[in-house]
Amino acid sequence: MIDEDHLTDLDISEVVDDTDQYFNTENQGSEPFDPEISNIQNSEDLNSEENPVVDKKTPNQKSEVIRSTKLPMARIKNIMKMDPDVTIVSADAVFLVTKAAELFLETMAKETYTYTATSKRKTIAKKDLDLVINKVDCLCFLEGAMDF
Amino acid sequence: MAEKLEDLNLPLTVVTRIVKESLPEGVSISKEARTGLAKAASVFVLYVTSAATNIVKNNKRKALTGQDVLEAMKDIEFDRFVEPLTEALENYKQAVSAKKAGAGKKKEDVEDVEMIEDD
Repeated sequence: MIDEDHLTDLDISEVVDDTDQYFNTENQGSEPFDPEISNIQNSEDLNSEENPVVDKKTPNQKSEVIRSTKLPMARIKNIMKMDPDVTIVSADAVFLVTKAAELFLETMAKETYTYTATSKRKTIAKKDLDLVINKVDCLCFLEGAMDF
Repeated sequence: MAEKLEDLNLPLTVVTRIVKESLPEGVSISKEARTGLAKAASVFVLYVTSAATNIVKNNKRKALTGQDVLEAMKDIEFDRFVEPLTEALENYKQAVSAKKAGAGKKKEDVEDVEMIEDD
């Protein structure tokens, strides 16, 4: 597990920034057709959709296994740092919060659309969002946050 | 202060993409709704962070770990996220360790070249 005595000497940026190098290159979707990668992939691998072993060298290929984030982890890290109680954050934590935010957006979008569809519209409007926030219990933390 | 407000917002294009992919075809989103969703996501990040920090404090630790985030999900009634998040974390760890292994090999190659040059 994480050695906390060691970590107290580190700043958040030291803990997380090293790993940002990996994320930045991955997020830019670099080299989907790397010749090295195409040699490794067999036709068998291409046909089978559940093959995590292949993904060790082909992170950008399969959409089934999404190991990078769409949202920028650096920005999420900055938002987390705004909490005065936050001292040290592990890279895993930043990743999970980023992924959770993506899941949250998906869930919100689908929920909101149910209200849009009820009104027989095809464009999601802000009032649909407001309705969802009021109706769904676990979204109560958003009340008042939408007033801008 | 204005800079901080911008930092608080997530990139609108990415937010729009995530939202559109989770909706059926033909559905569009008003600009206000898009901005609203982006803001909601930012608030969500703060909310999760706050819940996770509480767990860390209660356990008298200092570092916010991935495990704390997962626990926080349960606290804020987003239990359904725990399973997909755990899976995503596994894949992410695999990818990171694979990259480190690759970086290690490249370093060895560089050292070999240097030795030859010395000769």
